[in-house]
Amino acid sequence: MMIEFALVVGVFVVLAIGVVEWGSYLISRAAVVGAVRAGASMAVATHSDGDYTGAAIAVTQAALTAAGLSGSTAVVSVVLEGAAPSPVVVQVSVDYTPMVGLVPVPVTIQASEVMLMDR
Amino acid sequence: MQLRNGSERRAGSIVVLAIVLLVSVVGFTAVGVEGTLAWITRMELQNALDAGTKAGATFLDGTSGGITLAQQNAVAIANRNTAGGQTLAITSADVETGVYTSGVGFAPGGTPATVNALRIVHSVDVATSFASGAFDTPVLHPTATAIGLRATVGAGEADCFLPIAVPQCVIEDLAGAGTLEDTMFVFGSSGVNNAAWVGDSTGTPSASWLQSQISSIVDGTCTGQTLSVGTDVGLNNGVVVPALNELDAAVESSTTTWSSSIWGSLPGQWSDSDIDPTKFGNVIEANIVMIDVPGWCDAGGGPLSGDAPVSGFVKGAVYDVHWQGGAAPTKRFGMRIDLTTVSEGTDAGGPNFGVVSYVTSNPVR
Repeated sequence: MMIEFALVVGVFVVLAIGVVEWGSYLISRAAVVGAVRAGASMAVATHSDGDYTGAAIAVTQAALTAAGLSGSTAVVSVVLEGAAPSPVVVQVSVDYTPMVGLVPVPVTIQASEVMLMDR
Repeated sequence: MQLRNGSERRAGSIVVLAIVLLVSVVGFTAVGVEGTLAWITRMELQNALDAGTKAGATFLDGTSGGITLAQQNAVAIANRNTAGGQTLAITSADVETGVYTSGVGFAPGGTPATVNALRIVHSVDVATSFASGAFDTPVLHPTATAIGLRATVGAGEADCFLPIAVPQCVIEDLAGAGTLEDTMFVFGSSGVNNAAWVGDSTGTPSASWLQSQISSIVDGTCTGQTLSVGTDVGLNNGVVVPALNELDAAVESSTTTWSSSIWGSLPGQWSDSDIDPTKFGNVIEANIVMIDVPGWCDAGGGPLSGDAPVSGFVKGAVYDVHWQGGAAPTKRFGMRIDLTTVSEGTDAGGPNFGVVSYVTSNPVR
């Protein structure tokens, strides 16, 4: 009786941890998608002001930090393909730390967004 | 018959119960994970469509050519993005054009002159494995809708402006051939006539006021002389020789030289130009006043006099002037206009050009 209980509890605990782990990961991934969008929008909105790259990176990192990710160490690239109004490509790669570590989840989250600079 | 004892019966029931619960829990977990993955894919798809419609809407300029460009650019930008790791395969046929009205929404169709928005509705396939039974389909189709709107907001006001008015319809008629238009503007109450002197308030502007306004553009003291869209201003399409002379002198003394990176190649100087040939290539870059004179172009032009409301501004580069007799048309100036800078503040239905500031996204179904 105790053996069966232990087996069942063990499996359920692993499942429960998996649910939490993957739930957390997916929430973070959604946050990264939102952050890269915010960064691209900022680049488009500020390109005529000069340092649109810095502004885009700052907004992206701030959005990541607000989502509980390590925004300050995130790798954010902002690349303008030619002179405006060419596309601007914003890419983000941020480390993800599993909550428990018992269940495998990706340890890096990446996202990108391409927008056209305002004419 | 041998009866099992109670302990054996309970052990068997726990195994059955555990299997049932495990299948249920694994199933619900799979539904949650795969559903969330589809939701994130939809978010990425929404981003892609927003970027596409926003990019495309900047090309809506009131012409059919603009609509084609808008669709092409919307597709190009949207397809540069991915959703759920998938490349997108949006085509121009997926990009609807229509009229967006505040409070009403998007209505497909419209004429090139009235089209002010783009809409893309697109879905991608997300295969499900564990959760296919729960969703009753092996493939989910997250769908996103985006509407890109050409804004009707305009410059509102200009700090500095050259006291020259051009009917809005003249500018609109230039659209479509390119973003830079080289045009000869002519003063005069009859014949060829597409520009007028303009004041900053109602009543005919005086020659002395026009002269001081022109020189203030060149020496930079014009700041603060604001002109707002909607303001009624007085016109004078007489030649006003002192003002044309001032314009001539202003071009010659301008420290701004023609920038081919901004304005393209410098046109040739008129043979009867009054600009000192050694000074040709100096320009006055300034806001030109657009005025709303309904029906003026349809009627084939006519005197530009009395008062008219300011409908917007456009940036121009004045590079040539002729005012001292000679070949007709006698009193004229050459100016290249950057149509991408046209902005209208209170436009009620005519085309706007190249002014886009925001994009709307419908909630995803």
